[in-house]
Amino acid sequence: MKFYRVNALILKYWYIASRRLDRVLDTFYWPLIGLLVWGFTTYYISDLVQNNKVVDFLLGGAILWTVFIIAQTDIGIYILEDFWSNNVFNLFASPVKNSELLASIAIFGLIRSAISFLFLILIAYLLYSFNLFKIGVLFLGIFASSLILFGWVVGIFVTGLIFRYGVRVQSFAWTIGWLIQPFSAVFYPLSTLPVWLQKISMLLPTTYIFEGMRNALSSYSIDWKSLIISFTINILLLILAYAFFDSSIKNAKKKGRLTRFLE
Amino acid sequence: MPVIEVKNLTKKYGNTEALKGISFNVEEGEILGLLGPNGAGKSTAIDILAGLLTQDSGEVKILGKYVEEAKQDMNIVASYNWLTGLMTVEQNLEVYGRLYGVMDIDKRISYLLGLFELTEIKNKKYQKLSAGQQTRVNLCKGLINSPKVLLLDECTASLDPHLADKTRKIIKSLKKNTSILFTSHNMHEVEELCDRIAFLQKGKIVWIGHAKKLKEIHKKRTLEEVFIKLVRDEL
Repeated sequence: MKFYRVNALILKYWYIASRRLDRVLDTFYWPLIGLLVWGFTTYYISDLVQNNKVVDFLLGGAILWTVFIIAQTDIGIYILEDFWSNNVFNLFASPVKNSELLASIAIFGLIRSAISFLFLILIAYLLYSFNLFKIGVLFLGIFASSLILFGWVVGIFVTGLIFRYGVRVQSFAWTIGWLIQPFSAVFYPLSTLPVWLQKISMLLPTTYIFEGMRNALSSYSIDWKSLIISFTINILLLILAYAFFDSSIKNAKKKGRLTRFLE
Repeated sequence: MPVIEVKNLTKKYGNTEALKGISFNVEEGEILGLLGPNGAGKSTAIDILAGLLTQDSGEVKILGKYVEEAKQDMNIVASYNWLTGLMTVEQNLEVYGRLYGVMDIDKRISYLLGLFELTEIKNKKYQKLSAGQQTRVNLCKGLINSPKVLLLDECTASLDPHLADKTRKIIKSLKKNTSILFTSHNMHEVEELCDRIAFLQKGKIVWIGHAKKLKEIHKKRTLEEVFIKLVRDEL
């Protein structure tokens, strides 16, 4: 891997992002809207149930979910940008390696996730006096890292689908994250789900993180075993997602999908 | 040792045989014209050489290496592919310059923009350019890394006669350090630029050699007449 090529691609994504209002909206506007809706709703619910922890759990869930969703969507969307401008040809004719391409988008997504994350933490503090840092910077960093890692896993998988089936499956880039949400125990405990669904949920690294967040917010303690399971699943899935992406590129080269716009 | 070495290349799309075992070499400092009617397999061959398409069988060596290892010293310009529309001319060239690890990028960009009369529009978004301007920016991108091997697939399409003539002169001047595989439907251009030509028809090279010789064999005055004869005889 050559870092000057990774840097070149990060520069490219920066040039694109700085010229697209919707990319700025992705970083601030939509996460803010989500936080406002969840914030005021949970305040109302907490009044009804007389439980302050409800606010913490739901706001914490909403903020951490944003970290995952930005890391995930960025990977698909910045690859799609090359398809939309019919630039995949030039990109793949250059010496860029698959790993460099993914590394550059992942790093760019990481920066955007971090900006959005800190922005939401600040807004939640100003509007609702909710301080997510109370669970500790280290733990928060660990939770966010696992979610970013899983965001990359799903993003890489979606990108593999786009190279394999063309831009007709591009909507997965925006929608697949939301498919995972109901099974990730983001806003409710795992025990809320039916038993058979809990088994599926436990295959997702996100479930351990949101369960861990609630545990940290209520008892200020961390279940290290759950975190290790979350990271282990992430690593395994990352290897599988990369293998799928790599085979999708090979498939695209075999079928000639890199040379013309992928309809 | 040939700079480009192609041996028995085959490629099928479903049941369609796009390439049926073509072989050719391009020597150092040579411009080889790849000619043929639409659908003959020219772009398929170029795409394989660029590492964008994998062959079913056969071998391609560029500068003695497999394509993936040779990409740093190659570049491609094709009329049917573009740069990033949202980025300016200069930003696009900067990104590609960095991808190819070009030293002193600003100087290189400024030289190329001057060469192709694009300096005044360097801050314009690529998507706002005319077709002719986009073609010239694509050529700048193709030359950004001073490639030893250049693949030009109908790269002068959409240029006006003045700019097309200027571009041909630039391409000719590259021969000293660059070997070029060139495709075009402009036979005048091919005659002017190419040292040899390979005529491709239905996925096979039916003739390879000097244009002059080909005209003599077919008793025609121009390459265009030979082209028309070869294609119509086949029909």
